[in-house]
Amino acid sequence: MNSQTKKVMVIGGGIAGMTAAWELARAGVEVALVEKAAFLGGYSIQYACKATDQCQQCGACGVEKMLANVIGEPRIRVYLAAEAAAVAGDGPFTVTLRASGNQPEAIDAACGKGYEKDPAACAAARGYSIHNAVFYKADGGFDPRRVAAPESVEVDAVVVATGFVPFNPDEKPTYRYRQVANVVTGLDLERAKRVYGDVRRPSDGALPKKMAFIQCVGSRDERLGHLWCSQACCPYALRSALATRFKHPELDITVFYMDIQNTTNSFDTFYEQCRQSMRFVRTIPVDMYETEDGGVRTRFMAEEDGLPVEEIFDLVVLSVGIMPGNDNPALAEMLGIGLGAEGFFARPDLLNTSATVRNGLFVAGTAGGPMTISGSMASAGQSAAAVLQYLGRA
Amino acid sequence: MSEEAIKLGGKKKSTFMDKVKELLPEGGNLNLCLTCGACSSGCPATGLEGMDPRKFLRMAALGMDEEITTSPWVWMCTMCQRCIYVCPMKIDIPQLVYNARAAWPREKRPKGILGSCDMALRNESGSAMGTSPDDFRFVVEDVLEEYREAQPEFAEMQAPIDKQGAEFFLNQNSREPVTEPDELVPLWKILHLAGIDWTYGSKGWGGENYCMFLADDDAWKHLATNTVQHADELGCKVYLNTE
Repeated sequence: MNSQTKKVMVIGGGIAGMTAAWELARAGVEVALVEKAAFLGGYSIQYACKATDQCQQCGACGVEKMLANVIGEPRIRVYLAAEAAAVAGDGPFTVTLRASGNQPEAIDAACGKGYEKDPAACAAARGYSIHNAVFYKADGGFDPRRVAAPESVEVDAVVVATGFVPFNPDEKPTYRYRQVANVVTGLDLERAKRVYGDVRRPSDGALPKKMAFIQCVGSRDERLGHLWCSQACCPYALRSALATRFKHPELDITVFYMDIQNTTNSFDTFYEQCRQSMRFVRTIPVDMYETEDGGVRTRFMAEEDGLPVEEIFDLVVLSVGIMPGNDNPALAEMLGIGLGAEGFFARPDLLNTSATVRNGLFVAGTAGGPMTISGSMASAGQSAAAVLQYLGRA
Repeated sequence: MSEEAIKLGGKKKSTFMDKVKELLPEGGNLNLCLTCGACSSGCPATGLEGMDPRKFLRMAALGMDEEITTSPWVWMCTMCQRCIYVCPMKIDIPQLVYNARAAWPREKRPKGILGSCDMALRNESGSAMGTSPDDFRFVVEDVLEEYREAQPEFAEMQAPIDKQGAEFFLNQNSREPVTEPDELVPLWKILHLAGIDWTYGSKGWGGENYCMFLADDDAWKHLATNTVQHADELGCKVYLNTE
């Protein structure tokens, strides 16, 4: 197959988009990688390593590695703070890009070379990773040598890897997220771990002594029209809990759940480890009240005797699910590919899940439905293979 | 080669839950339960009589009709609807409880609720205290006069009964006129200061509807029809339910 002269646009620079871009570039394809935010990595780059004394296969370091691959790959041209405004033609396609309006996060002078001096804090300020540093000049703007300005691009195929949005817990008001300081989302917890290298209570920055995870927040919810299991929340919450417990063996952790989603092929061992070091309660609490010293008081039914119990936790983590991107309806219309009933991009061919209804347009990662980091990477690999096959035919 | 297919036993027995499902829009989502237990975490009656909403729904789903329709727990439910509010699957547990109440022989239902419903059926007041329209009128007029005299700033305050064409028809919990008549006044004052054109009715002024809590559908309907019809006869535009 001769794909030397072929060019592909990948819309979305999260883990799926980066993986698809790199796989295609490795096969000799020129790639235009377009990301709406001012950094690469999407939500996946905001998750922290969850190793105990051994790797838990969470995939967070895989995202770092893929980001390093992408910035070191000359065949990938990166557009940041850019989005696709129009896609014309039937292959080749003319894609018109425009500025998304996002800007690199402001960064104080101390972080001018801060990625070397204080990688954690400066990474949180801009792009969550030292690898994103190459995209910015010392004064904070984009470096034009590394970030291409929005333009019109001719490509032979397009990969849609626009990802997801985390569930907004405001839609389940009894959890009182934003009103009670120490009720956070799983993503908040992960971001904080990237900044501080550890778990912290938002109210006073202290290490919690008693912590709770509440599963299935926003997923499996008929009322909100979200019937799906988000697949990623059990893995991230349990691995995060286990890693935190490993670091702080005195920490008391409760996991409130309805059932537990499988994580890896060694799941039974992993789950047994979790059950030995944490308390699992098969009831979802609903009401959160703030105590005077910043604790979170909640009520739930104890399984053993069916009686209601009230307990106070220092930190409550809502394991929020994977929701279709807010832009999906507009994007689907602009691209001429439909959405499924749940709001993710439709994948009409069950045996070729990267195909869309439009020839030459492909889907990768959570744009097509909930999946984990490793699931997104596998999905992107399949999409890249489908694109290469298509280019061979084109 | 192929063995004969195994035939399952006769038709599935219709259970209590199936009957309730037929009554409700979307079957009340009664078979969507993922057993997350949010209902039981929020329910004020969790743990009473060894029961909670999740357990109650599971027992109904398992066809334990005998247990479901005889558990006194259904009478401890306040019908607050917290369970359906927090349920991610929007399962109509309150209606399941309501219909379990309705399955009880009327005379075996709790005496307090039963007695209050029967009282309300005694005369046209619809009052669970059994207060007659004349007694209600006497109390309202007496209390009004007292306040108009004692508090000159409310000398013009009204508390009309059966005022034709009033905009709002107001009902009233019947405990106040009987046991705490002074408690009638704060709402009158608010309506007065807001310049609201309102009236009580001599018929159907009793706002509480114990027949609803008793799960006596016919009596509930009778009381509701009685009061709404009277509001219509008076030409009121808005029915203000204070209960």
